[in-house]
Amino acid sequence: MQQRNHTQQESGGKSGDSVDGERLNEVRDKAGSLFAAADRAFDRVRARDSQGFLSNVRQTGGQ
Amino acid sequence: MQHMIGVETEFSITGLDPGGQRVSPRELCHRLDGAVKSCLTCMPDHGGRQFLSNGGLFYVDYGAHPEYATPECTSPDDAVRYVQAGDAIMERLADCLQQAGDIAEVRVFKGNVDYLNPDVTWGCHESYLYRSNLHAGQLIPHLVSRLIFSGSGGWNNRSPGLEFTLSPRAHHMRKAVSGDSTGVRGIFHTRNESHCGRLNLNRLHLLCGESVFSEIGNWLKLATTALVVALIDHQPGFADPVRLVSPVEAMRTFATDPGCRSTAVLMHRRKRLTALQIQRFYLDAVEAHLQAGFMPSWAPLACRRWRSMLDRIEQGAATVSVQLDWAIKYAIYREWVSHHSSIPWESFSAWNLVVSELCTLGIGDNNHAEIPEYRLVRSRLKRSDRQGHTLKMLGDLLAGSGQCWEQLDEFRHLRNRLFEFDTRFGEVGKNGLFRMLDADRVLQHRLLKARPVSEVINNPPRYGRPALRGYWIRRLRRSKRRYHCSWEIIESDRRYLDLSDPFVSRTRWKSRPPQDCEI
Repeated sequence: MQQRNHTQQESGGKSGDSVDGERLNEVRDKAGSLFAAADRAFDRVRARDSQGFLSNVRQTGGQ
Repeated sequence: MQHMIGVETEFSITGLDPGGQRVSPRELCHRLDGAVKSCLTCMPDHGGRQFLSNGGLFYVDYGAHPEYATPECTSPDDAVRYVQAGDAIMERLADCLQQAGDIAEVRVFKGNVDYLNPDVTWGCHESYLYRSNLHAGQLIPHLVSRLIFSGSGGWNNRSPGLEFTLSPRAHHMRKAVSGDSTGVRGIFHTRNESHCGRLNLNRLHLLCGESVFSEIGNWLKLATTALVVALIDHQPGFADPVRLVSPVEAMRTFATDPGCRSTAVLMHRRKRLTALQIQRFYLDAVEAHLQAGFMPSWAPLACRRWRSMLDRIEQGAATVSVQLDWAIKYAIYREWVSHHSSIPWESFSAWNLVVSELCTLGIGDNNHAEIPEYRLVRSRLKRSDRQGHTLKMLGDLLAGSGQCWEQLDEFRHLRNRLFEFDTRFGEVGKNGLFRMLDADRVLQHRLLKARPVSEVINNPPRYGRPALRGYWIRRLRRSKRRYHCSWEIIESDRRYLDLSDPFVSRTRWKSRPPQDCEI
């Protein structure tokens, strides 16, 4: 088993980011970046799989 | 006063063999079980489930899905970390299976609902310690209204159309109080498996919550609920002013309003309050008792974060659109629809009425998995509705939203696409949409200091019985003697370690009396 080398922080999130405190303007500014990143992510995941994703990944039952 | 929080996460998993064929769920779970033994340090219980060296538990549950339970945590920080450990464990196990060679691809999800089956959900259960009586009616208004920050967001998989919801799981709650966990689920679950009967330490088990990726969303869900439970435990009756007339209806009302302005009727003078107002009631009550001995040391910080979040939500979903799962989804799905579809978000309610009517007429899939194609609808309606009244009435309804019948297939495709996005959002690992957005640094949801993932996968929390459980699982892994573990004991045929006190801090192995073989 290959040991993963990343930390929880490396898996995402800018170091030092915090939601404490009042930074609403900053949060709003981030929305624009969010949409661009979401568009890129949508394209990437779509490119990875063939059509019929939902039925292909049909999952095991839950409760 | 000591507190205890635990979380069980149900994952869904799918595997493809090298030929692209699905591996059967049972086979996959069987392999997963083997991977746990080879990739992680663990000790079995008497039923074949595996306790882990981080103090948690991994097993394959009813319905052939993997499930991970965190160790018992004394703070929301730890609880969130060990939930994240579960994701990392599942990722590691998926890697293990893929490296074995005969399974080409393994994908793991914690998406809460199945868009191909309206009856299937994957739960995220919470456990909280309480000492005396816990009245359901006192807690339910909190559980119903907390979804404004704890909801995973997504689509109501019981709707034949496209209904965005702050909490897909909310639509699967059928009673206010119930002991059933798979059928008639209750907002308040009556299962009470004691943490320790002799010390009067009881366990509240909740199943109305959801898996979320947002650290602040997860943290607030666990911290606020633990505080409210502590307050009810010590100040019974304080929540009488916000008891709800119809909790199930209130939960669905709150879940379907991203503006968080809808109200629910209270028993007290039939007043109406929003979810935000109910949350502020609980917050004020907790703040009024911050100095009480039963409040944990992290309560003041929790209240500051709680208030800050409610203030933000009050200003609109956009202010939390990079913080909370539901608000992130709401923002990016709306944006995507506005740029990639000629079906406007605002017309969804008209389309929902149309496809509901089609279901009533028996046209389409009873499971709501697929909307029927336009040509099928047209031919069926022409046969059954010779005067064309229904076709015209529904057509007029669509026209009111600037839509027409010919766009049905586009709505159908859009629905499939949005369900697909939501499923991908919940994918665990680097290909999950949340993880991608997080890696792109466009989210702002972190609270906790970074710690290496391996630390929480392998090591237990520092306090209480999970610390001893984790230590001894590691220590005994190469023992020639056969040991078994449970939440309350580690035992061999010769000796046992009593962990029935959740806050035990010292190891005292005892010889095994012959009559004491059952756990």
